Amino acid sequence: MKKPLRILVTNHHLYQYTGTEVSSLILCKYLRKEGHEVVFYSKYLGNKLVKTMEDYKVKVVDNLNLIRNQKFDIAHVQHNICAYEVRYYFPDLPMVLWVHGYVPFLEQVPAIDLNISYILTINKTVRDHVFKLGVPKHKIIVFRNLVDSEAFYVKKPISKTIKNVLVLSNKLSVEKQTVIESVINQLGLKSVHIGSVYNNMVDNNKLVDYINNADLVFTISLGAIESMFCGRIPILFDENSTQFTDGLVDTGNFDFLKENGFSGRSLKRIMTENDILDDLQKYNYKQGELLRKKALKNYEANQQIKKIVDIYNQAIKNFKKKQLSKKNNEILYHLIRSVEEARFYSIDVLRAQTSTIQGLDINSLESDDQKIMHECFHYVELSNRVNSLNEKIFQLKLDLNKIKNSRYYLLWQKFNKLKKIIK
Amino acid sequence: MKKKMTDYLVSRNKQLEEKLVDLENKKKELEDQYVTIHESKAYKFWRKIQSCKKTLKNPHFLNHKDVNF
Repeated sequence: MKKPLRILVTNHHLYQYTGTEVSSLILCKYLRKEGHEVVFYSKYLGNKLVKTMEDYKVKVVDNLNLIRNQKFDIAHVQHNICAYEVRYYFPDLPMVLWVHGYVPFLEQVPAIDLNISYILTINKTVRDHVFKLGVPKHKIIVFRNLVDSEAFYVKKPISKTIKNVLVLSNKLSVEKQTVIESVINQLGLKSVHIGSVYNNMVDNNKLVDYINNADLVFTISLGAIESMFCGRIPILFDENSTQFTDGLVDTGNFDFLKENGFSGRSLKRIMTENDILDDLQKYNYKQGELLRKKALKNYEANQQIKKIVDIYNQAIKNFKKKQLSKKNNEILYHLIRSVEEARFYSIDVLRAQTSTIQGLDINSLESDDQKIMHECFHYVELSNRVNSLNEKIFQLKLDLNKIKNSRYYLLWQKFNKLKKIIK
Repeated sequence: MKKKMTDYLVSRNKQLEEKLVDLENKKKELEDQYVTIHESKAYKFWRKIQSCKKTLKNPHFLNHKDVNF
């Protein structure tokens, strides 16, 4: 094995099991498995996912300023805001940016040249979009999502006819929910609904059981790939910022749909209840195993991680330091400060508005809502104190290191030792 | 459900309070080290050397030819 790398991985947020957050977890897990050292940065952290990262022996931070003196070989960045931040705090660090889509703002390519080595895109459609924005072709590499085959696998065989349905969505609109419910009722199917839209978020390690208990899964993107890893058939009918859906996935349309990340936007179909019913008539349980093989070939994490490490090494080898222009430096500074100021005030305004509840003892509060709010703001207050203490400790360590590494300090230490010996 | 959530939040805050205590201790330990160094004779002597060096390097000082060493 080549020399292990020290990698900084970022994602704008990490507090629930949605697309890029899950990708971050799998990426870090498999990088660690390959023996690389990983530090993960996100401004918005949730305890559960941080715990998972820590179980993988990944250090998690929410403030890049605190680690700006640490040495990294490369930064694997997700989301444009993180790209600005990484370049601001690490001016000479090779960086790759992984773009997961072309609709969300966070997935847009940064507006200024940040000396990014490669833009990685999860499929060819995103690649074409990035190319149209003016990124040179040699800087764009298609790097597909990685899916954990240790977490998603066939636990039991799929039924020959559809009996159980899983609706797996974080954003499903009411209109689409109504269509799904109507189809389920008409066919008399058993259904389970999970995802933030149903207020029923499930841990990623339990998702495999939910998928294996179903034959058909209403979902898109990563959920569709995970379903195929479990030998299940996905139907691409979920919220995707458009009115379009793609319907049932089979081996015939797999390669076409994959180039749009199974987002449901490839065929530009507007599906009604009847269209879904028509699609479901094409259900063939044998497709489950065939789709699984295709999905494994394209998204299996063990293979994908080797590809990404090769890309890292290439980026490190070809990296040339480049100073940002004076104008871009100014813009970068303003962007970073804007993000930090906005974050501070969004928290502070809530603190100010609920100051009446905050000062009270929790036992004196009558309603559960008040108690929850009280604890939430207590948490914010505690987090702020933790952050400020971390900053102080960081500064103290920096000062002490400076002193302890100085010639005079070393001389003094030697003098003290000598004094002891003489005594 | 809400009761469960409140319990979770309370326990999460408790964890954070514990972390805060650890951090306070760590900060105190570092500050003590800092103070020990600052109050040492060696450090005071070093500061004096630094300030002398600064004074000697000051062009304003060097221009005064009549300074009696």
